[in-house]
Amino acid sequence: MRTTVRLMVKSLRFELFAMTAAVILLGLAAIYVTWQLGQVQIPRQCLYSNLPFGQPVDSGLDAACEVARSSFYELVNTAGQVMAFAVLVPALAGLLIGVPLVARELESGTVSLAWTLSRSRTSWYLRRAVPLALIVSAALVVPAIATFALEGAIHPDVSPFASFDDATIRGPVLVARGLLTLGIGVFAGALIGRQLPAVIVGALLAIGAMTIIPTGVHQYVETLTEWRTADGTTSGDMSIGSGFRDKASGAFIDNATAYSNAPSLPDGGVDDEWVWTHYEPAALVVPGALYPQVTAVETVATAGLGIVALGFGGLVVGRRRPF
Amino acid sequence: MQPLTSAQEPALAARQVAKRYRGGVRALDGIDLDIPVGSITALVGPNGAGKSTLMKAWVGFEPPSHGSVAVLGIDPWRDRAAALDRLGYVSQRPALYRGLTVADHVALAVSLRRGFDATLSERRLAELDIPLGQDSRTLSGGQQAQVMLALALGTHAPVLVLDEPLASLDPLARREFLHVLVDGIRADGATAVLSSHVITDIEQACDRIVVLGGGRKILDESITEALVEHRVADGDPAAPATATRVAAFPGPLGESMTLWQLEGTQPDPAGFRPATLEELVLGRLASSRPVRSRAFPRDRAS
Repeated sequence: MRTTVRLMVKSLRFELFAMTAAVILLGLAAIYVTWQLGQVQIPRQCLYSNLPFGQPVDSGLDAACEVARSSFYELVNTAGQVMAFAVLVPALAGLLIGVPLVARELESGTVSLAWTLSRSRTSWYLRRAVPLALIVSAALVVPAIATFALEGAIHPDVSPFASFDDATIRGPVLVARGLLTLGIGVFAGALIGRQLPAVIVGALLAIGAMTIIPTGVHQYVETLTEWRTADGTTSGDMSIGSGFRDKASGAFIDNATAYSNAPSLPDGGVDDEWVWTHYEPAALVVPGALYPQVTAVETVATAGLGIVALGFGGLVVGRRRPF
Repeated sequence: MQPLTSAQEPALAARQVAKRYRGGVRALDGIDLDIPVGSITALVGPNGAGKSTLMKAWVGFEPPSHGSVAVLGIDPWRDRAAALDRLGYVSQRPALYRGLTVADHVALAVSLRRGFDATLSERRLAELDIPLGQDSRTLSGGQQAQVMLALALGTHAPVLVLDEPLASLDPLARREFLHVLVDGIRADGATAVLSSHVITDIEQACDRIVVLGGGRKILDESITEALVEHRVADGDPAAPATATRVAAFPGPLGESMTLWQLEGTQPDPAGFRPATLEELVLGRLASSRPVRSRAFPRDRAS
């Protein structure tokens, strides 16, 4: 087993080296930006997320914050670029490492050696695909941690473990996305048998999968919502709708109901003042505290689909011609 | 060495094997063939005769459209693992991993094949002065073929299938390859089937010849017997009583020659001489299809 892994790593050394270099670069960039954000030591009340409700950002009332804000949010922009890189690395790494696992062997004809030396193609495939998936997953823990650290620095007022801010571009879901694109890449490579077309097809399949999964997760998230008044929300909550709270009964209602309850004006319009007198604004949110639960579901769904794709890759290997 | 099946079982068998590719291209057309245990068989024929297709069916790479194949009685399309356990394979194109050394390939074989004899492979490679630490990319075509052969021999498989391993080799490399092959086969008491276009080389290495043409079997005989039975004549003389005309075929300069099959053990008729294996193959191929040559008239028998 150790020999198989060593030789597999050796034959994919360029791709694995590129991924390792990207991951190290990313880790260093994340550490540097996180450290710089910490150095600014921006007072909590100066964060835009802590502005009192309804206060314009450029009101000039908080001039004392402006200097800190200026350098802090400039660094937040840089942090955003690092996070974008952190999103790209897992997806690209998975695809570009997954495709050649089988496709390169088919292209170069080496499968005819491997598939006649090994009595089982499935065993040959598993002894390569499983260690590769583990290596890629282990390497992608770096972007997962780096993005958590960055998120904590960007939003110092809320724990990244209890916040939906940037939830889809940080944390373990990045590892799962790497596994997904790896599985899709291996499958496309095994099916098509040529690397370049497999990269293109794999990328399209990956984009499709990464569009479908969040849709499914969103349906799950909608089952976790709660109504909160403006002063009851935290900056880590995920807002997925708005409405009002009836001041008299305390009941939460959506916008349409609130405005349909309001008396009509002579010109046929709705009496906004009546609405704001009787109701207070509210938001339909998923509490930030549920972030671990939601991200676990998305991670499992994404990684699961990646494992299914790897399984399909194995089925293709078992049935296809070696040329 | 893997246990063999019953003594009567051929090492490799094909029963009514037909293969049609997409587009209706017919590669094999009802081939019946037995490769006896212990033989070294040459599978010859022109391009497109179906040699590679038949070999790929035996190693489980290309399913027949019709009929069945077997390796020591095992159908590789029903029990691929058991069939592969009994097979060693050398592909037409050297299938070595770019960037891996020769030693890496031996290590790979050890990891993939239970009971792989790394010592044997390494010894054979050392005898050929192929350094184990050399990157496969820097090996010559002959060395790559030798590495492939050393890996196949290291399996100690009772049956070796070699798909045109000599195609890209120079005469010296071909001679060396065949020497190592015969030596390895004889040492293991194994069976080998080897496809090739180079008739002169296989004559020295093989004891049996199968000629395929147009997807059909044209000749299947021991080389010694085939040579004893056949004669050639310049031109197209009148048929003597002791021989049957097989076919006319073009000589090296386009001149007309004819292949004859002797009946019994009579002395050679006047103007007849023993056929070389190349002439035998050419004549047999010409008997199965018209041979196009400006200087050579169409085969009257066809």
